[in-house]
Amino acid sequence: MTETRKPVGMELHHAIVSHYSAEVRMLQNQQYRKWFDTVIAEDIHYWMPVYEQRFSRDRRPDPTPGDAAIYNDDYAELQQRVDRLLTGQVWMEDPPSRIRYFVTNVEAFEIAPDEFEVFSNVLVHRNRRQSEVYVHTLGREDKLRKTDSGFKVFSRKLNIDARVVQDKNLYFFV
Amino acid sequence: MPFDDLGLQFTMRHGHGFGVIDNAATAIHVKRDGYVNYLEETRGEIREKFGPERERLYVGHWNASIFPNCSFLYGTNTFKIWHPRGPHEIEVWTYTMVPKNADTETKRSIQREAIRSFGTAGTLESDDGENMSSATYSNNGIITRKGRMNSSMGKDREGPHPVYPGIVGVSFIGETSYRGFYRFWQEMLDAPDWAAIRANDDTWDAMWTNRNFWPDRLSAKQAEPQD
Repeated sequence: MTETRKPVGMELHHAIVSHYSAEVRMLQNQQYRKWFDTVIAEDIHYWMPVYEQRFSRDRRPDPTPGDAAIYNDDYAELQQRVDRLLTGQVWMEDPPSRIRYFVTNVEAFEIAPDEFEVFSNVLVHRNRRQSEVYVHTLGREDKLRKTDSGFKVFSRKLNIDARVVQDKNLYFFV
Repeated sequence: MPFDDLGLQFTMRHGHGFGVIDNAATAIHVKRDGYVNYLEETRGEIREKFGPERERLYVGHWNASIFPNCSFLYGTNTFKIWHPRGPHEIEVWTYTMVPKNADTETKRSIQREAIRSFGTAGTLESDDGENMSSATYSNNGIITRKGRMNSSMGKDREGPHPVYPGIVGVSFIGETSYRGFYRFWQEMLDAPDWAAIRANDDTWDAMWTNRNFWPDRLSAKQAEPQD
């Protein structure tokens, strides 16, 4: 598919990439509350649908928010996930995972005044316990809103490439 | 024992078993109005058809296993098959169960809540998975392999029940169902063929020696002064 829309200019593009870097730094430092308060809009739809692996001649329609999904959260539900990590009773994150995020191929388009659709690739490298190493690659489709307090994401769709999950869980934010 | 009379635990002839927490069917779900209403609207029919003892199970929360590799939580309604994938590997398939006659919106919210709690990124599943893999890892150690597992919790507070089949334990926190699971596993390993297993059909529960536990308990309860 050829993109007919025009990407945003250099300055905006740079601002969005910088925003993503700051977001990653908060997640890597386990500042989940700050991450939630800083970058998540109150009308967020945080979505990681399940894609089935099918033969080409056996195509299925793309998943919708009404289907089973790994994440399908609104603001309160995402907040509950953050709250849980901060209870001090989460065994899976004590000691915490060491997670690095690599965000590349950022493409941004203006879809409304101060609203942007942004595509990116994300590589998540998760190192846990003594010897557990998991690598996840995801395609990410964001809708960002530019506000007085920076960019806020109000729609995030995560397409994880693994069709059989190669990890104990997917309880990390992307 | 803590939690006496707040639930029950069961084991069956062929290793299936479950624990039930009374009146807690939907407790794990956050958005649960539709499901709560559905159970309230249908529990009368269950009572009529199957009696109050089954109605009690219908509105309770179960953690259940069908021997040997299918587990489900009734109430939370997550359903898992554990597929062996060779040594040290297992692949888990997770499904959601919904009541066939519930309305579409209720079915959808049950599915969302089941996945939020016990799905791949579930708020409870993530911790449980850690426990299971850590337990497997540490039990592979040479010292642990020399020891014996203690699975005796609640072992004298269980027996045949006048209403329910199988062996019934008095508390939902206990190891009645684990003892039944491993009992049947051992029976399978020791048996040369199915005929040898069928030969045990009348004596399978002989290891539960406290045969009068339930009759005694129920008659003692009946003798208690009522408020």
